[in-house]
Amino acid sequence: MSTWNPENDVDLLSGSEDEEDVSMKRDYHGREAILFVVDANLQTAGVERLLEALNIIRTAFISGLLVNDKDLIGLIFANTKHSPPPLEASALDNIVMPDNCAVFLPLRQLTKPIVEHYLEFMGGVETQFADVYGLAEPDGRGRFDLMIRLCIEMLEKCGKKLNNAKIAYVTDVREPHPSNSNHFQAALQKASDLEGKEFEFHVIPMVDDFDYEPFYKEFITLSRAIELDAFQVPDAQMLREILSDRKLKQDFLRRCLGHFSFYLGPNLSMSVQYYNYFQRRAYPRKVQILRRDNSVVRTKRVITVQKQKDDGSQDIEHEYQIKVTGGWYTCNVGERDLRISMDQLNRVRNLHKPQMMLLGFKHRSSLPEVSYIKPANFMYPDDQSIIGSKRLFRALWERCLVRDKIAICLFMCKRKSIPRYVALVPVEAPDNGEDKNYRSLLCGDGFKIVYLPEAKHIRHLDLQDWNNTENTADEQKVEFFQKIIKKLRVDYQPNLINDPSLDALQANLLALSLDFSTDTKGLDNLLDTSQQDKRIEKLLPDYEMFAPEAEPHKKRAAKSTTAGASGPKMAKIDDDQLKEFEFVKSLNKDEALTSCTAAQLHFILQHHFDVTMPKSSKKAKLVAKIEELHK
Amino acid sequence: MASNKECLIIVLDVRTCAAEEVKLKSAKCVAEILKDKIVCDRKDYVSFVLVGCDTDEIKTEDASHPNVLPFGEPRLCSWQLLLEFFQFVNKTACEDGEWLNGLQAALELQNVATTLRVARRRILLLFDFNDFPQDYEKFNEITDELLGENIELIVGTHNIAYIDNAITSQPQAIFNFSRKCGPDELNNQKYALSLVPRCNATLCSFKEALHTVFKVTNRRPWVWNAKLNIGSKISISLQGIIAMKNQTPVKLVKVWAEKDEIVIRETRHYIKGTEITPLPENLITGYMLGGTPVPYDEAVLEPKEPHPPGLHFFGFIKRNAVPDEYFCGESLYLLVHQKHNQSAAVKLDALVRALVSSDRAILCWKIYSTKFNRPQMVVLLPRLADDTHPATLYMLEVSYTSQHHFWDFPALRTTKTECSEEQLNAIDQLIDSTDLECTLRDTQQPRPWAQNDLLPFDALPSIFEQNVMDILERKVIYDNDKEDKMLKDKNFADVFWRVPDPLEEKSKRAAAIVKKLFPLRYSRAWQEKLLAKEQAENGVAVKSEPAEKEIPLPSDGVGLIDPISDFRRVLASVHTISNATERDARFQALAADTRVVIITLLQRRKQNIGQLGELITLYRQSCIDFNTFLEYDKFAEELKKIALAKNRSEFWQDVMVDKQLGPLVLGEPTLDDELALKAYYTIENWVESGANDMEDVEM
Repeated sequence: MSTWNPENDVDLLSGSEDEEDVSMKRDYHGREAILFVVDANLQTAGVERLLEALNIIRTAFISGLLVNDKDLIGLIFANTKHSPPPLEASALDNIVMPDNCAVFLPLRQLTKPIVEHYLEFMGGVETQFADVYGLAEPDGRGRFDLMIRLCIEMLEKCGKKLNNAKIAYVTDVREPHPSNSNHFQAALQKASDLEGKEFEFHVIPMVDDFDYEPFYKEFITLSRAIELDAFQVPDAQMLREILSDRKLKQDFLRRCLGHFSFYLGPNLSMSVQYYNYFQRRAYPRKVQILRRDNSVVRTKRVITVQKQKDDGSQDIEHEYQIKVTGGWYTCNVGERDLRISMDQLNRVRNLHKPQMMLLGFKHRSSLPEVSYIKPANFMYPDDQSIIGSKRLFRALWERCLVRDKIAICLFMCKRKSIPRYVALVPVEAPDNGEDKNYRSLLCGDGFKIVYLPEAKHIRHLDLQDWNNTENTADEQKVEFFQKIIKKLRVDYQPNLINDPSLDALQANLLALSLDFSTDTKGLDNLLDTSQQDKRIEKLLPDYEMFAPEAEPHKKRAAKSTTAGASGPKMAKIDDDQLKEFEFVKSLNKDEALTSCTAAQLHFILQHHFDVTMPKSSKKAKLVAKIEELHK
Repeated sequence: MASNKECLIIVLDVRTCAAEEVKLKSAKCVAEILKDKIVCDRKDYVSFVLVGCDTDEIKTEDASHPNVLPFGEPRLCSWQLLLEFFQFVNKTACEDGEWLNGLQAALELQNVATTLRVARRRILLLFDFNDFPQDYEKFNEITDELLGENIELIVGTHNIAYIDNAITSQPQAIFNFSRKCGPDELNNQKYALSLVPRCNATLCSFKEALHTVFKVTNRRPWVWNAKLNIGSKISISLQGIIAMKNQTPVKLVKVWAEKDEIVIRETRHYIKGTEITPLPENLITGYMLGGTPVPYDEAVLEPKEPHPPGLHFFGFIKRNAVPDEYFCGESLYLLVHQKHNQSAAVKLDALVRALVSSDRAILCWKIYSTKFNRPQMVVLLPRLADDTHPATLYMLEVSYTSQHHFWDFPALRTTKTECSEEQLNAIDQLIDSTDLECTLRDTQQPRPWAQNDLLPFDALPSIFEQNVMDILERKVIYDNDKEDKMLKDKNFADVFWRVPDPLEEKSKRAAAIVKKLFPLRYSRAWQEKLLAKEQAENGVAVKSEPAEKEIPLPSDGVGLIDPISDFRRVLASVHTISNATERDARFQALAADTRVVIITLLQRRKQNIGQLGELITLYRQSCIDFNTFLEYDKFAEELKKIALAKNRSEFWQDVMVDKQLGPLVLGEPTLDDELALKAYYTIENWVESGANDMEDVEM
């Protein structure tokens, strides 16, 4: 806020709309909540597995502290023998506590004391968890349905309006109850309760070969109201990794950016939703703080319009505040200034309702290899407004995949946005047995929405000034770089590459507030080339085959226009003009002979005065000679 | 994105023998060009030349160019210029006119533009090469001058078709063949076609002419200088150029206040709603850690030296390792070697060829400058050199893991969404019937559009910009401020919301077949949900109703000086109150005031009988409107008593009886009502006039 530039007011003409802004705005009135549930059975495989789970939650706590500070986080231990109360015991006054469950942290916005309390608890887990919480008797199985009821009650009675509620169950037990028991059926009944309340349930396995078939496949599909054969088995290790950043597989129904109708013809449409692949960079929220007592100071921009009296005194005739979206645009027509109000300009954006319309199909290869104007989105069907959309969507998607086609559409994602041409590229989820790489986390079946550039977004560059036949390198030089490539190949692991600026900021904040330090060498070593140099050490002598780069002569900086030192430049002088003596006379009179080249000055002397100067004469000397001959 | 300046001279055919279609499309082309340059604030110079004007009346015109009328010296574009063009193009036309003379006049205007120091000079010729003879004596001379002066000529006309050149496979414009073609028309077309090889002219249709005018090539773009460092030894000097950017060139001047007003911008500070005025040194920037604010004092932390700017190598990765879905950033950069740096060019060429042969890309940290010193991960994609450009690298920013979403979409292939063979065939038919790529197998067959593509990717229009230009043009021309009229012109946008014309019929038929085979129906639950949402939004409007109470009503009631206009004014404001209860209350107050005024006026020594009559009539009518019959009946009885007491026989007869202002009767009066009214209006025992005089003396 302190860097607010008054000249950069909100501009409706900006064509770059950020869907994340719109998404954030929609979520403004609700909060996100993640309720962690840790299965006490994790300790039976050794305290290391329990500690691993708690470490994931620790990382999630710190992440919750640093990013999206309004989120609510809670922690429950399930299948415990004892039920000690949390630090804030009064938070459970209206909640029925079942057996074999313990609430460590009710749903709360994280603060520094809460995180410190959790870190202190983690310090004593190895020695005290078994005594304080223990394991349910006789077989480590508490009532799964009662645990779910506790989660529902905690989410419903947390005191805040929830916009997105998740339950993350960390366990290594693939079947909480035998499939032939009454508890099994009662547990499945709770899945319907979760679906009705729009609470998401995620199971985070602590073993890689977790089996979903006995219980969780049915439970998850019931809680999400999807068909059993549509369930896709996630990768357990990847789930643990993304959980530590408080990321979970997003429920596609509730986190979409928008919902619209996709028209294949004048009277043929289906209902679809679209999603974004990533969100805007998430930084801790910046605030102004009063030094005296660390109070948060909110700033507000005020635009005031004043009119002073005509008599020249400082009295104000009237004064009023206007909004940032006030004012108007103006364009000049002769002596008149036409006024275009914000409402009138907004009408331009409101000329059509949001929708997508099919224009035609092209082959996949017609899409340019490198074309970027805006981050891509993802499109997926729903049966909400038009029942039967999923089948039609699947048919279109399947035939586009098989025939390698893309659809070209006109897309208006929401009212008052700008219609854009998009290409729908069919994408497919990888098979279950396929290699688990990062790409498989992208999305499942559907269409990728690729935004196409408008004609004026593409710059037509004439690179003939750069082009030269001598630019071509011979094969020996190409081989050199091929060897360099072999030496410096890396596998792209995006989960190992973090935003260095964000890392540095977070490390500093943790050092300032929680008094513990994290490894910040990554940023210092960001540009360290010692590893690269070592790998290509043997190849560097061959680098001599390339000529050293000579710095082209730099142009002199242009004179400052405020100085007003340089006047407007004259047009270039043609040789034909020099043949006229009157023209040469005017040049001399205006002291503009220095605008001519040396060759032109020689021409003037020879043609008009029949004087020949040595070719090595300097320009100043030639000018002086002409001036002398004019007198 | 800045563009270099140019001077554009447009030659238009306004001969009476030219096809009306050519004239209309020519004027529309010029309007589009001017609108674009005005709205995007381009510093281009434009002028016009009319061919086919009746110049006999203009004696000052040069005889060397008969029937050719130049507009004037090239000027910057403005709305005023657009209006003047519309007047200029409607000059008196005649049948004669030579387009070579028009070109010569345009060349003279271009010579004037030499002093404007423009980067590019172009002439747009919009002409109808019809069956009227033209003089081609100076054809070679003029085309040589165009070539020598390096002026680009664009020729737009109708009757144009395109075929692919047999040698170059590039689209080539030809004239449509017609049996009705006369010998003069063939000759004209022959010379028009000769313009292409003689002076590198572009011959095209009107639509393509517009596209060609807008497509400006940049030879000296703004560049970002950087070095690509691999290790500490290998270094290549590069220059980055923006190749694509999602940025509208529309520019409008923002105004906040009238000309005699001052705009003041300030920042105010609040703590929990209370405004404070802290000194700048008492504020410190901090961050929120959950619910805890943490001051972030830069002085406490160790200062770090800024990273050196440039591209710092991270690793060679597989070409497709970075999914396209994770590209972010605002623009697409093209990296080329430093201009005139031969050594860097050779290195880059070798690197690009090596990358392409091993199917690799480069992952780098990009540090833009010392000022913008934040590292950003970018991927560099190679592009081989060809005849038009050297070896280059595309540069795209990549998002980080912490930004990524991880979706969990169910599979689309389920038993519930299984499709039959017939359904899939219908979809195939839809795909085939809306194929945007050329449906003609033989590219040698003439076609109306240039590319083998109905929606080429480098020629997509900007719908928002087009709408802004059209609305501004309408506002400038008609100068109307009525907003409802703009609402009726919704076809501004609908022009774009349709399938390309050649596919429209086939597309509709295929969609109809798909509709028959796929059962689709609107969800009733969704409709009810939307309805409830709308009602909830209307409910918010109800809450805003109390704000109306704050609207100040006229403080004056009904006065004695001008009670009739006072009554009318207050009654009008009472009618505007939407709350029924409050409206009735206000009317009761108004009625009470009015009755007091009437009684006061009636008791005066000198009464204004006409004024009283009108006021009572208005009041009586409002009682009918507000359904207050009982109050008026009581008032009428009171009036009778006062009239008797004060002996106001003239008032009674002229106002109450003649105007029938007695008690109100609902519906048709019954016999009893008539008897009651008659009894009301009859007064038999008026006091003698002598007593009247005595009362006056007493007062």
